[in-house]
Amino acid sequence: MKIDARAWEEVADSIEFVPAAYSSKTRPESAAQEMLRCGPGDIETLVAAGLPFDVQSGVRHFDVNDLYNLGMYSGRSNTQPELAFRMLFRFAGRPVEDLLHPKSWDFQVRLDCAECGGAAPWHFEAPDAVRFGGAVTDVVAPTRVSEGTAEYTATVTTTGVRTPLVSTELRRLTRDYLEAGYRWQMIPVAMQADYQLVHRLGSTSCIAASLLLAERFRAAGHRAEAKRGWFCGVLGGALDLPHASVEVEDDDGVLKTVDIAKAQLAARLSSDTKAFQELCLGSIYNKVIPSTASGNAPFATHECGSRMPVHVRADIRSLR
Amino acid sequence: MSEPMQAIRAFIQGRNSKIGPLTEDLDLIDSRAIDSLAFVEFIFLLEELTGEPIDPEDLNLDDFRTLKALETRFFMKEAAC
Repeated sequence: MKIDARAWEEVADSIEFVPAAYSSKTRPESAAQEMLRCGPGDIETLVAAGLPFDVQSGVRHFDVNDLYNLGMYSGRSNTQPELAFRMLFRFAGRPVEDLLHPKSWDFQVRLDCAECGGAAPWHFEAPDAVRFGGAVTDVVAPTRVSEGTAEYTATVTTTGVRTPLVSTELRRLTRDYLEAGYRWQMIPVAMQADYQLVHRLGSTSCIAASLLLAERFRAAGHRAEAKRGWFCGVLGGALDLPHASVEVEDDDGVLKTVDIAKAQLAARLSSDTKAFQELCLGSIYNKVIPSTASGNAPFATHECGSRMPVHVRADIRSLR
Repeated sequence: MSEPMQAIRAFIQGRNSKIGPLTEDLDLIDSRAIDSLAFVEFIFLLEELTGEPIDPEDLNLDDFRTLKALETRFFMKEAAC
């Protein structure tokens, strides 16, 4: 489908493309056309408008994050990113009581050490639902020493608790962030850790937002830390969705989570999500599995000496 | 073959020109015939074909693994009644 070239130019102008230092161009032009539901002429327009690429074996390749952001902000309604987020956020318009009861998950993670240097111990930042009223049982952790790949499996029970922020200062800092106009974008994890850069570009993402907000909470005198986890209950485990939020000790002494990126995305994607957005500001809900990983730390490491990060693929399915 | 199943085959073949014969038992997930992004489009197609909403949380990937499983899960309800 050919669309108006000016429309694609405007979308490209509105996107902060991933800087070269963080970019990984792995998607061939055919995949770009499929993600954006467009034709070769539209890709030419995007390239002319600044979409970064490199050429591998004579074929242009693009960063998947750039393609995701172009699709998400295209306004076409039929790009794969738009459809994915429409499906993903259906739950946010439903009664929030559904997010407050205990829920169990079959949690499976596969760890792959690229360019593995040989047998060595693994470290995996495990699910940590207990501190928010949940449970982790039937754990099978990676054997202490192995080569190449490992697995972690467990049954994780999450539960929701309505504990909105009570501190007026924490609420003000959260509101100020939401009203600052940062634009949510898909951003490589390594770049998200450089949260000052992300925000200087006018962008935001779950890790970058959580790191900055945690810093502001600490400056206001609260114990706070950005923590990673998984957003689950999405397409039967077909989508791997690492997540991050801020954990902060409120004036009432209770540890709360501020899921700033979800609140922002829900507001952008659907107007009927007010109750869910409020739930994101302090309360715990049952679609997130917290982990022991801090905001910009990897989920797993392998002590073999490989300089490549461990690839972590989670498959999380709802148990009934 | 029913019309909905023809539409499903057309969807998969349209996105996988090199997939080869689309047998009833081919694992559509492991073969990457449907990847995670195309999977969302595929669910919208299924909703259109069945006329019923699908809750993403209730999905069981095994219902999507093969053409046979898809037909059983989504298009054989009337026959089962």
